[in-house]
Amino acid sequence: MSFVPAVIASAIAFLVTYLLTPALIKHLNKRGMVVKDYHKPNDKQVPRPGGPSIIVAIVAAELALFVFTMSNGVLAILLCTVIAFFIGYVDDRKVMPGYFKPLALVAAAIPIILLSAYDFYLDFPFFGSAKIPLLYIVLILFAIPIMGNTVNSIDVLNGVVSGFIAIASVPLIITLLLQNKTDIAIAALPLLLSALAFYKYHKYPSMIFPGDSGTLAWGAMYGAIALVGGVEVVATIALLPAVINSFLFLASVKRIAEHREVKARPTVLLDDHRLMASTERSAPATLVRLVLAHGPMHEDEIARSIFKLAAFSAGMAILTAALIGVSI
Amino acid sequence: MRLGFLFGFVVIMWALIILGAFILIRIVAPIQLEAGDIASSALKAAIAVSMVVIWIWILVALKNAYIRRRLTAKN
Repeated sequence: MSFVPAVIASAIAFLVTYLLTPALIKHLNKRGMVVKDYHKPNDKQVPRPGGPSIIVAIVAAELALFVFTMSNGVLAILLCTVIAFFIGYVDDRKVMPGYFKPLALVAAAIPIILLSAYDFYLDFPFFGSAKIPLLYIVLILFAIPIMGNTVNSIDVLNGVVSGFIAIASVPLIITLLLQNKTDIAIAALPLLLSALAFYKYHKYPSMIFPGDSGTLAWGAMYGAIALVGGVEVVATIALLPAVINSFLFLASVKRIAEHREVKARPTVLLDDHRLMASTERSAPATLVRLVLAHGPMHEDEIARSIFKLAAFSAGMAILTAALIGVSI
Repeated sequence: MRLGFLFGFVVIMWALIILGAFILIRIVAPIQLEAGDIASSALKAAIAVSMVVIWIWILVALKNAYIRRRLTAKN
């Protein structure tokens, strides 16, 4: 019975993103909505934001799924994603201060609370569940901004955020299926398939950037699926490379700041267009800087390294999901 | 191995999450003070916050040691 909605939602998410993005690239180029790709020679300009094609695909797929399921959970995921998209779109069009995104994303968490699309339990491997009725609402209000900004922060090089989201969503879907939460597992398919379709245009060398509208929509959707599906711990583990990136940056600059606000660069672009880790003491620590600790690399090689790390974390997340039923 | 430290960092974070779950669910959650529920909850919250601070301190120390060894030492 769930096979038909799964195929329809997947096909819509993939095809709409795949077919709409080239038209969006043309439109953005025509209107001069382009930004510099800092890791390319000759001031290469790339259209941004790709968020509109991503959100149209996700909304169409989730609405189709909602018609089949009439599930509050699906509706909460959809509304959370749409609100996060608009917050990102504002940031794409106008330079906002560093605190804007984390603060505004609290609004994206509200539909999950209003629609009561959650339970109060946090499931851990070996030690069972923690029931936290009041604290869970606070957790929702924090989780969506944190997940949204964490995914946003991994948008560091060509193709990284779209490839990363595609990899990180796999353990989420597997865990939801293992726990018989089929509706939410299907609701997660558009996340995977929109990211996969967008990766075709976003991979090195990028023809389009997702922008904050794309990354915040993906990040908030990822967080909403984790909360509504009750797979918070698994989702956090799959997201660890992005969490590490945010953690390293925050631990270095010791405040919430946009990357553009930090003067010392974590990497240096060499004449042969490879990237090298900065040896400046004041340069912020980032995931890319640590990947480059052993020597310079090309942009696509760094992206592949981050994907290896994402695949490793996805494996750890699936292991965690398997261990949730085990108690000691 | 180029990504060795980062793979290790992921495993350490995973282990800290599991260890944190053990401490909070098995040790902290059952704490019940004679002074009442509010005092018990305050103590549990204080322990949880302290744990987060210690976890962050461990991760920052690891990160700093690696950056000193591999990056700024070359400077």
